[in-house]
Amino acid sequence: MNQSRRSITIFMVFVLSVSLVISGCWDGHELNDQYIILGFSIDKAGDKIRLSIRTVKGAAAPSMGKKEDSGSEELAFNIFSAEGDSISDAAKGLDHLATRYIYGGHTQVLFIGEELAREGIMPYLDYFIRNRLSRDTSWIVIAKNGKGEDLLTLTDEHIKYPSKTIDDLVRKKTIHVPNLFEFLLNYHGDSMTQALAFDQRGKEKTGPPGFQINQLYIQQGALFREDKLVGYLSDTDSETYNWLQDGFHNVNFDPGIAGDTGDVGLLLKGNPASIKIMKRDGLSVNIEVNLDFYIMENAPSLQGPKEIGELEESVDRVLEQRVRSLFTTLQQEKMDVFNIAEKVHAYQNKRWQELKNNWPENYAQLPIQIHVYSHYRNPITMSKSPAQKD
Amino acid sequence: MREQNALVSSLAENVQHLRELLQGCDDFVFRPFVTATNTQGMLVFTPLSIDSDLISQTILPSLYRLELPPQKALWLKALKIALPFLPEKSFSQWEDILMELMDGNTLVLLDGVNEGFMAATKKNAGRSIEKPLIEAVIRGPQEAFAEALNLNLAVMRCRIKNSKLKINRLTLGEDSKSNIALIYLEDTIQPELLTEIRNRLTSIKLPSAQESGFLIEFLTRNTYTPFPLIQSTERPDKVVAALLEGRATILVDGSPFALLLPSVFWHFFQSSDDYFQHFLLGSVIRILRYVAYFFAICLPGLYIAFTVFQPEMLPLRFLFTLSTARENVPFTTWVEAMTMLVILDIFREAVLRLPSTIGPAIGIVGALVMGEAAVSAGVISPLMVIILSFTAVATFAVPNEDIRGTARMFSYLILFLSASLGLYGLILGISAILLHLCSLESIGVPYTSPIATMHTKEWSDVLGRAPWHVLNRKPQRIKIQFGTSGRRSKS
Repeated sequence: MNQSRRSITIFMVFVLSVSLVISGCWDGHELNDQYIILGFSIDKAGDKIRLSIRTVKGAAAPSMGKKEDSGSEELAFNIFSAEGDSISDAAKGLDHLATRYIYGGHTQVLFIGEELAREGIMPYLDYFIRNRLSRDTSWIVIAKNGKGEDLLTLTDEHIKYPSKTIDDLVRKKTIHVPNLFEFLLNYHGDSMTQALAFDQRGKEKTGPPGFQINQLYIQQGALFREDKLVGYLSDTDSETYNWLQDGFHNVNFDPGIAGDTGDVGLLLKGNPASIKIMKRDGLSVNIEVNLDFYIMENAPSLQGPKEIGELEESVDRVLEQRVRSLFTTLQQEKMDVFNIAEKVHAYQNKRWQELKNNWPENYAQLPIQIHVYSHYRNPITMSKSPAQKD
Repeated sequence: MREQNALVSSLAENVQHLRELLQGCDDFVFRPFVTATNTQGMLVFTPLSIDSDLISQTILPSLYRLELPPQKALWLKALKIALPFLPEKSFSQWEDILMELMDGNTLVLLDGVNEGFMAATKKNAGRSIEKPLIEAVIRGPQEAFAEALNLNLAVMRCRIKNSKLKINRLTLGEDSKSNIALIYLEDTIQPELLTEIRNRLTSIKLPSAQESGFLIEFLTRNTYTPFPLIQSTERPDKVVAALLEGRATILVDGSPFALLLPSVFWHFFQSSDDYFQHFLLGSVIRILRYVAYFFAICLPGLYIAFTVFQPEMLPLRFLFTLSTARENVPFTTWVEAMTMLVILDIFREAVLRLPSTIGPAIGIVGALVMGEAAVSAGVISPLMVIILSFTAVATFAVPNEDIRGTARMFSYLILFLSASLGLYGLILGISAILLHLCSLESIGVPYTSPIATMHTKEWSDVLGRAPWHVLNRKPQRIKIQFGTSGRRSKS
């Protein structure tokens, strides 16, 4: 009895000790022995792949967001680039260049050059999905008409890191930038098409003497079929896409309706659109948008419920046109970026079996019903423009 | 030398024997006297701890005036009438007489009487009741036990005016013969628990019991755990609360600390303040103490695990700050943390034993001057100073010194595990501590009850402090629980 208990104890101690050894937790790195990476870029370089990283120097980090002394200032970041046949090959090159351990646990953005994006990005993303070098929540941004590496080196007066610009915009919900995880999710969805974010670098504006200001604009609508870039959405359609995906977050909007002294200015607030599949009278898509609006500028005279109702109807019409325009473009391009295929598959499986083999064509023919319900809020505030004379 | 245990009638023989027994005890005085009826007598006392006024003004004059009847059979009765200050009981065994003498009483011997009379002349020369030094509270009674047992017992009697408060006196220590008192509330304490405590108390074999702390190891019968299994307190109000909860108290003569037993883990986080202020405030502060205890153990380990192994857990901006702070530090984080922890403990130990006049000065030198200098010299990172200072402060937020010691000890263990295995090691360490906690018992009561034993109705005074009307409904008192094997587990 005692003998067996002792052997069980020895066995348990052994098993537990083994778990210590195989846990893979021994690979700690001191903070001052590693480079913190905020962004990666992948580009085509001839028939090779060019991988670049932007690391933050510890000593320069606290001045982030502050203006540094001009002149002999030390760069707040390092750029390392290496080329290779694959990402692993290029990463090996990076290891030789960078003197410290490369830590990518806080990677925020993955810039992809347009050339590479047109060829297909999935083979290269594989590395980032498997490796600890990156995290699933890194945003994917396509460099329109350029290279990802150029974006990595971008520095502006206020924000030193391009990823910080994206971070701020995403937090503000001004733009919708998909991350690695979302890209993969949609990649394995039925529609096989999706919209990623693309950038547009501002022209170098001349600021005060000694300053060159670069500005990073992130816009929606790099349209992807499977993992290949096939086109872009217009600015207006991109904005509408963002509203439908993320909702209206204090959007300043000019519906083009005449007020007392000029166009009415509105502030829109609302939830993402609800997209439903209807099967009455054949298969169709029902898009419902609910939002509230506040009058910010040039209010028309709102005497009673009738006038308010008329204003709401006008806003509904304008927004409906915007949504209609987006879907017309998407259907023409046969781009199912809202993943309607998934919904048909989930809710109308019988019909899906008929439609799935020729889904892009079927999608282009699908009737889309759009319903916008806008509601005028805060009627107690000033209903009359101060410019209006009695 | 002949063997003699009992007194004889001859005064000369008795005095002779007593002198032999007290050979070398120069503090004893033998004062002969003669009664009014010419009977020889002897007073024996130690002038160190007696009321000399009582002897010179009451006892001696009465003895000189004492008129004893010619028949010896009536002497005892006459003595009791003439000397009302003598207690009812007289002693015939030398052993008992010696005990009384040592205690500061005065022996009255008369020629022709084979019994000794003890006059209660003991005078307490010790400290009186003073303010609590260790368990200070903001609001509540400002009195603490003193060294004298009788004084302490008097305080207890004053606080619980109920005949159910039982005080059992025992003698402990083969050489020191110290007086101890076992106090409990009858009907409130579980009888099995009381029997168990009595058994353990009577089986203690030790030469001297100078401090209640001597008894803890014997009472708990578990020497190899760092956790305190018996609580000690200097506050009478805390003792009263414990008695009402169904616990027992042991007071040792010469020690200002009462032992409360059994004690479970949560008792060490309760402070008298909790009950003197609003229950919400008391609850919040008590929860804060648990949080502080967690940080006191884990914070240096967490810091290492997060910065060296799992920086993904930290917000980006904080990581930048950390990275900058560590840029020029020559040591690895764990060496830095371990060194700082050792230095911190040395400081704590140094200040503890210093006179209160220079203690704060050392604190200032340690915390301000050395910390500041070490940071500016680039030897340690400022963040490490913050982490370690917070760890120290968190330790002080735990109200009991015994449990505070465990936090100090475990912080090294957790630091070591975190430094080698990261968060995984930290979780392993915490799990090991929790498992150990769950295996402990204090006098048969599980150490983590009532939480681990799932007696949910008793939780009202554990994590937080419920209002009084809820606390008074508390259904189950502290009880011995039996192990799953059917026998009472050893604790």
